[in-house]
Amino acid sequence: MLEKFMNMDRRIIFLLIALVVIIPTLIPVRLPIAVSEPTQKLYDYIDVLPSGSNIMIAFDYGPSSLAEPEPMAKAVMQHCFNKGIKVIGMTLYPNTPTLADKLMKKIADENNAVYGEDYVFLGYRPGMLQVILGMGTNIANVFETDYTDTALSDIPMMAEVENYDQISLLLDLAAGSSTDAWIIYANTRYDLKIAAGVTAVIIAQMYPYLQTGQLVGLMPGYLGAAEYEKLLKDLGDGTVGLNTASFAHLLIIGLVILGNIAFFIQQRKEA
Amino acid sequence: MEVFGIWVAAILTLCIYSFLYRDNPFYRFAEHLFVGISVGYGIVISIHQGVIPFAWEPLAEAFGGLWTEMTGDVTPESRQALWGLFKIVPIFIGLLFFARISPSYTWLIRYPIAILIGFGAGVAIPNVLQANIFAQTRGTVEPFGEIHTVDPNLLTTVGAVLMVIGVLCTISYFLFSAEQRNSFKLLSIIGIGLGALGFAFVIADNITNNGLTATEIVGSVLMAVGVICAIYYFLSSVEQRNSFKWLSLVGIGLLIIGFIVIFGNTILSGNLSLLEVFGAVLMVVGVFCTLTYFFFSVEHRGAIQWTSKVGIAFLMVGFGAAFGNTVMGRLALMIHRVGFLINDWIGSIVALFG
Repeated sequence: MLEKFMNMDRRIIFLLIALVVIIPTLIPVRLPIAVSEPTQKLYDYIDVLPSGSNIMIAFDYGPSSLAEPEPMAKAVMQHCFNKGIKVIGMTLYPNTPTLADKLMKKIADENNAVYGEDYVFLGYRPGMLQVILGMGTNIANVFETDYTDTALSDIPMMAEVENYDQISLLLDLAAGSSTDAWIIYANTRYDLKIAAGVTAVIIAQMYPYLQTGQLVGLMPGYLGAAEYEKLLKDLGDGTVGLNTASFAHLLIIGLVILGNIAFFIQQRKEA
Repeated sequence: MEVFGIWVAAILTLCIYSFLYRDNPFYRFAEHLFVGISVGYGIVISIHQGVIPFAWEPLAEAFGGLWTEMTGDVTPESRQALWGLFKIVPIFIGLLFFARISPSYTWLIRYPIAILIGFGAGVAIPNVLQANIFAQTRGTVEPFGEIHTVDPNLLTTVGAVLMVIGVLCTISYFLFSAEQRNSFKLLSIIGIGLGALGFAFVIADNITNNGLTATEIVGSVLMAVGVICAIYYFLSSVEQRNSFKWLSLVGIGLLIIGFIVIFGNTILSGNLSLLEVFGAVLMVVGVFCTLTYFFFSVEHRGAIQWTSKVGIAFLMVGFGAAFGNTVMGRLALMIHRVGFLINDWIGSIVALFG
């Protein structure tokens, strides 16, 4: 029995994981969510910004990692539009412009935001370092036009935005090392306030920046999106994702405990 | 058309997940398709968002302006466009990357690489030091007390000047490419002495201007003396014996005492909650032990061995947290795909027949 358990076909685990993901997706369950300090900090920072402020959202993730950043983008942009805060979108990743453009349009439509007045998407320019540093001097030098080839000078909301001095916050929705680059170059050199919404894979690397104040707030994966949705009192994809993930986590924890028990029993038997 | 896109995405998703059963041609097809499309899309976007606006258009406008100049029909716009000709220089340097293709001109690739490395290092080093070393170090010790602002008075100025001279002289001590003797050796000694003196001046200024409590003064002074003495401990160029060894030990001891005094004061003053104090101590202990693990200049025996073992425990906790988060991240991707298959794909089928 023990041997069978230790040599269990890994595909049985895959099947169990599939079941605990599929069942809560079909039958939604709402679990309680407590808002953590990093997400609360980001929410509070945006919440006190005066109407007409600008925040920049960097969509620094690819198609293979959009599951977590997209609900975060939806929640934050909804908050901004409700508060009358203007959103400037851009990306440092070449594979993201279409995704980000489509997402911004969708969220803007849901919130009756007008392109060029409430939000704008600048697109992508190659060279992560050069883009971050260049925008610190003059955004129009890096992005002469937006994603739809409209000159920045012809976009009403960009009329008074020259560089980071007019940007109240940069929110980096990241799945890689871009947040480090924003902190190292934009925050250190230009004192731009940075917040991050990152995939769970890189959360551990971000906490030191939060503790030192180099990040004003942090949304960790699905959890961050769900917490932000709770603060907005408008539950969305983040909450659904987190609820489903909770069941999968329980299964994994159970399997880890069972695996360890079996391992120690086997070790004792062999001794 | 949208339904067609959903079906393509759904079939490709199922192809990718079929790998969980075992490797198969459907998985490989979807994998190769994904890699190919990603690269192709990336190249096209880079051309449209990078090459065309930054290289092609300015050059085209510049040559247009040049032609206008030559034909005599000069306008302010054509004159302005001429500036675009300067872009030939960076474009030419960038094109040198393709010298790699020709075996006889491969060496030319060194120039763009040298420029990139030079630029990258020049920009990165000060910012990385500031963001990842100074700010993180400050963040590690900051919970133990508030940073006191130093008023620009005479005492501070003297202290600051001494510190600058001290830093320069101390750096000269660590310049091992020149033999440390005569005036050079003197410079090194002055460096360490002035560094200590400057440090003392700044501390004195802090005491007089900021009204530090007695324990803070004692703790700060002990820390300062401790830091200076502890530096000796790490001076690998000098044999650690007799008075030198004692100095090192005193340094380490004073650092610990200073740390305890400041830490005790922080707890007594009630600036931090018990949980925050625990977190702050844990962080400092973790940083110290983990750094000890990576300090290979000293044999890991006795106390150092135990300290580094604690460091390994901290590392394991860190890796465990990272792994747990990675599992969460991978699950998020699966949840997203399952949501797509159930809501969009099966939803489209239901809508088709419903």
